[in-house]
Amino acid sequence: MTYVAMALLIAGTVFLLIAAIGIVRLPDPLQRMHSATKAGTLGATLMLLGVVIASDWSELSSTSGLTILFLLITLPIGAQLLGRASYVSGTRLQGLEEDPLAEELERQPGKPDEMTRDA
Amino acid sequence: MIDLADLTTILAVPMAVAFLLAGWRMVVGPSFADRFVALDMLTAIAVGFAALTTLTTGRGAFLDIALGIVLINFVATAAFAVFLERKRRRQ
Amino acid sequence: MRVTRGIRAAIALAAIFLWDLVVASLGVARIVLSPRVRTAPAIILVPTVLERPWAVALFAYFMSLTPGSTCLHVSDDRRSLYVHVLDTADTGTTIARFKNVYERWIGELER
Repeated sequence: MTYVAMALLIAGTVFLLIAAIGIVRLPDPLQRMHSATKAGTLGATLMLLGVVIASDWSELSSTSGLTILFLLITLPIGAQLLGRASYVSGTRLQGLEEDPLAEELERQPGKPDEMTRDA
Repeated sequence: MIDLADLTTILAVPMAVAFLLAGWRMVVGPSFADRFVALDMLTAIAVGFAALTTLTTGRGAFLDIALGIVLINFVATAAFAVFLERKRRRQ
Repeated sequence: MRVTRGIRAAIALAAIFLWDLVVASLGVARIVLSPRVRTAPAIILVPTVLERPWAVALFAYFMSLTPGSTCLHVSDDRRSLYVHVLDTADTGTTIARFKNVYERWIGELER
């Protein structure tokens, strides 16, 4: 049983590390979001599961389960809000081939760095 | 054979590397969106660290901290998104 | 009868989703760890036949949670979703996959 927990912990750490590398390497915010919010959450979930199993389903598992539940519920909602906001605010997007959303939402022109200054 | 206490100590190293990478992205930017994506990532790493700390110390209180971090992160993300969209409307 | 169908659809959704989560995470890992990051991002329009608001929300939720695709916006009449995909070789198959897998089972749940 301990080995299962160890395997879960190692897998979670690997996913978190990959997500962090993705954040540094991918070229634009929306792509970074794919790496961060999903691989990152999978990693955190696996580590929490590892804690549940390592503690032999003790009273810790209720808190772990609740944390996993909230991670899975809030994550896509946060990602959607953040993605839409960064699209609307005119973030530089790289290599986008088609963009049907341009008709629906208007994008703010100009560099996003300028926003930082007058905020 | 390696035991759980050793493993959690060893795993703290790659976690710290991940933390540094995400922190670098948060400092460098270049846009607001990048920084908040990095904040999301830091949250996930902090939850992972809380899980590891629970195993090393044997105290369940660290999992409560993880739950709190997750909830606060969601509110922060939502507030930031509303802020960005409203900023566009004002101009 | 209705209840058993709903339960069946819910179980199928959960199973497919967990499988997709792992597979797509590995896909993201492959892209990130390759020596040269080469992605083909696109924003695609996914039309939906789902009617009730919660069904559309669930559809958007599952698409957002699967790595490699994030729902950005739902049109005001709730008929189409705008999805950002990380790596698309072929837009048609991506849309068809979403519709065949998730929309079918959520539609089953909706009835």
